[in-house]
Amino acid sequence: MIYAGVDSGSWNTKAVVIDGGARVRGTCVVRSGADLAGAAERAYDGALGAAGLGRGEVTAVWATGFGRQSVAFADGSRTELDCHGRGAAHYVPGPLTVVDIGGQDAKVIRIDAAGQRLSHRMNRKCAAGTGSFLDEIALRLGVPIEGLGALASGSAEPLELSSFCTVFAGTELLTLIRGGKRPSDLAMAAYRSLVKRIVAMDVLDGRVVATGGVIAHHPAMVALLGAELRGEIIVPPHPQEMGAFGAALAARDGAAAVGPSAGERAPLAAVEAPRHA
Amino acid sequence: MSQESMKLAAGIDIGTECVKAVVVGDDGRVRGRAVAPTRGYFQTCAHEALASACEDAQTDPAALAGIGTTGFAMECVANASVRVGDSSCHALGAFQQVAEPMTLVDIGGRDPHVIWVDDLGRRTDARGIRRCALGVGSFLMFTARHLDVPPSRLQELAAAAERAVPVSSYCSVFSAGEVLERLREGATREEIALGCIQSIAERIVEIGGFRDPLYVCGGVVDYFPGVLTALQSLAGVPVRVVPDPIYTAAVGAALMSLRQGEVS
Amino acid sequence: MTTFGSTAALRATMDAYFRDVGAAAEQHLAPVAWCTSVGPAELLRALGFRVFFPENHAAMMGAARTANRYMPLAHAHGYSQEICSYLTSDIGAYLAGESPMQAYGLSGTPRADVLVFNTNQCRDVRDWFEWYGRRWNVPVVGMRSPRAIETVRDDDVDAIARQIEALVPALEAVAGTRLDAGRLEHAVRASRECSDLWEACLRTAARRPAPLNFFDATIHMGPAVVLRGADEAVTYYRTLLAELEGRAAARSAAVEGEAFRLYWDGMPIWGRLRALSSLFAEFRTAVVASTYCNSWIFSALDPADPVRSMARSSLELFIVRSEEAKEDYIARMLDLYHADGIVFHDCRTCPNNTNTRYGMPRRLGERLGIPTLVLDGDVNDLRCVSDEQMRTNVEGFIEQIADARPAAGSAAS
Repeated sequence: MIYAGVDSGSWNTKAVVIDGGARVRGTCVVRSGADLAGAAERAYDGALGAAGLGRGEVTAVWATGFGRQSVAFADGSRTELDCHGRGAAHYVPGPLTVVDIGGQDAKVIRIDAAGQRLSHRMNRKCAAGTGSFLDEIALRLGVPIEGLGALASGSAEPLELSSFCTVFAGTELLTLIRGGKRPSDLAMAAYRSLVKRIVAMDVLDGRVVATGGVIAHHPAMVALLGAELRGEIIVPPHPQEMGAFGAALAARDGAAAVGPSAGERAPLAAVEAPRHA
Repeated sequence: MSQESMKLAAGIDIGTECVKAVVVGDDGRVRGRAVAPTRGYFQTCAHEALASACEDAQTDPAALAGIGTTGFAMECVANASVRVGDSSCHALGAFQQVAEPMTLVDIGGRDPHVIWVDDLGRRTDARGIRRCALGVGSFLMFTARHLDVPPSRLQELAAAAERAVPVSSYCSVFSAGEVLERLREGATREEIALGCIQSIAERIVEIGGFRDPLYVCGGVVDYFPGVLTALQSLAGVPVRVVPDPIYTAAVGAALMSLRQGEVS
Repeated sequence: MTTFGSTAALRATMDAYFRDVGAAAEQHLAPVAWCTSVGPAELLRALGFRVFFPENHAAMMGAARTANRYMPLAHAHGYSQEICSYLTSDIGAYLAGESPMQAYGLSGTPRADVLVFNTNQCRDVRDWFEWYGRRWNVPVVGMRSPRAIETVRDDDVDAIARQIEALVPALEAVAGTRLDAGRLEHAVRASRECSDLWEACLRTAARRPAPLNFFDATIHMGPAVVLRGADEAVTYYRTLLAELEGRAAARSAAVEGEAFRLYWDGMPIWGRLRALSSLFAEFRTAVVASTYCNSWIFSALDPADPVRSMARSSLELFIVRSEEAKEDYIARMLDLYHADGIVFHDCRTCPNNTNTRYGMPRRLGERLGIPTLVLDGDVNDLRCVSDEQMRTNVEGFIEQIADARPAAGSAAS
């Protein structure tokens, strides 16, 4: 039996194809862009292609993530809170805390010994602590985002950015550049600042598992997170595709969908529209 | 007055998004202009912008009577003859162009300000916007990325919109992320681009205290004239633009440098 | 939102109330007092004032989503984005020359002859009233309350009772009449009756399935807010209670297929009331009780001792209590209403109606062994609300509750 999961995120759409034993057969990551539905189709076909399989061979495919309602071909959906937790708990026995850092949000998900979710925290309506922070920093330092980690690896002097706010930190960084600080030290300071913001979101107890695109592409984050928590940080296989993997597990396990499973839901703002002032 | 007897000074405004440089004569006229993006080291950016402005004015940098600097990194130009805070430079630069006391709205890449200018071109008061709404440049950049267009195309998109879809978070970076929500709900890119441009105007109107005449300067209105239209509809007083709005502070800095020359 | 037969009576009651206050102000038929939501309304009624509640006025702008247009005008006058968005909505609307009252044929917000605050909720109500006091050159008087009260002591009650008594001469001067003991007693009796009926209405939601939910209740509490101490409120809640008891007996549910029950702590998000109601309903979740709607229950009111009982009810209110007293209260409510979890609204501009900032969700969750969720938002300022995060937070929370049940909710198809 073959199952699949698609994680429609704000920056990237990820797809994972697994077999009944939860072995990963294929994965794919594409840019979400402005067409979430199209990106989901491409990611799904990409993962199937990598697995050498066709859509007809998939028993069930579930969606998760910001755009989970835009995945027309999905048989069900679960939130990314569930799927990141579910995926991480597959690899790491509980109790555990999952730290997921994506482009637009950061999540801390606590899971008990039985694999049940205990609580979650998400960033408030503020970009602090999310991947966009690093994007801004890379832009200010004049390096592509992919090059930020390599730049930071040359850091010699420990510097602190005092602001969590993406926009403030951008200016603070400029001030430090003006003061003659080295870009490598500033890149490392940016990672350190992001880690400080994350550990303040919730108590990170039990085994700490890090997932998400930022973790996958910025290994410096893992080392800093470990140093901050004085413990080991577990990075499971395919951390960026963990949400999609969790969605595939939900498809396999037939997790109960708590809401309507098919069709677009009305956007919250639009639900208000009929009301007469 | 011949070119030879004309005293020339440069003004450099080193902002967080761009460096602006001008060469100004002692008659107050702008002879040369240049803009360079602020990336990497400030000294290099400032030097390049100054060299281009001198070239545009067909003058030798060595012939300048002085260099005034202003903006975020005004300390970075070692041979500056005067360094002045940007709101005073905006006030003087705008006053030079429009010759009347005014409420001046500066919409730059980072922190929009409202500056009240008296009948001598002096700043009498200034106020900025809410801290989370700072970073107009970053906001537009992230928005453009979500819409899959270069930032320079946002205005073009907005101009084609028939209505604006509101984008309203306090956090300018998070606001850009809201763009995706609106897209998923079926809004067009054009409507969102217009919504984003309007949201900048809304944050500025919150500063308050607008009196007629109201003038706008700063780089954003050059690249995103839609902000002006939105401001016009919200401000309650007519909105006018200072000529060459992106260079206003640089002009003010050059004038400060010329004035200093007069005193000494 | 649930459709109730009583809605027509609700509309008629509110409509008549707005027109009455408006007419009093515009045609000078009676003196008008503005009163904060838990201010001494009974005293004002006994003195013949028509009483206007600006918090209700601001909530109407939040629900109509006009608030976001008005707030920037108040910000421009130096009233920060960080303070009460009721205040900034209301002052902004005044500056714009607009008001929801215009829908009732009035020219705008009814002008006050006196403004009466009670700081038991916050300082903002007083700052709000003082803005109008300066503008209209009318007196601003009120009660200054102790806060974070563990148990209400007699000396606290004495102090507040003296403050209420001290208001009387100033209010009499504005009203142009003397306080009549019989009228005060009548107002307190009517207020207590309204409170008891309102409590009984809310209590019907303890039944499974709940015949009304939090979102319905925020609409139907209108008369309890604006007509406390008046007979019209009593009449309305008799009608509503009869309907709710009928619905409960008929097992008529506010949320179809009710599978999960939650308690709401904190302010409503007025601009997303309907949306949140539908969102929870999608997940067959009834929000069965709330601190907010319960805050118009004043069981201490006693017509035999009007002033002291008014003082006591103002001090027993949830919002002025200590963390421990609040936690005990919520624990009792969870038990009474059989709730599976708590949703805390962290209301950006209303710190005093927000109970998430000093560790309460974690403490209560551990003490009671129930899940808690914190939603970031605001009562009126939609710039602080992220629809996407709200949806994911709510959906994720209900997944969590569903998964923790041995025989989980609905079977997968």
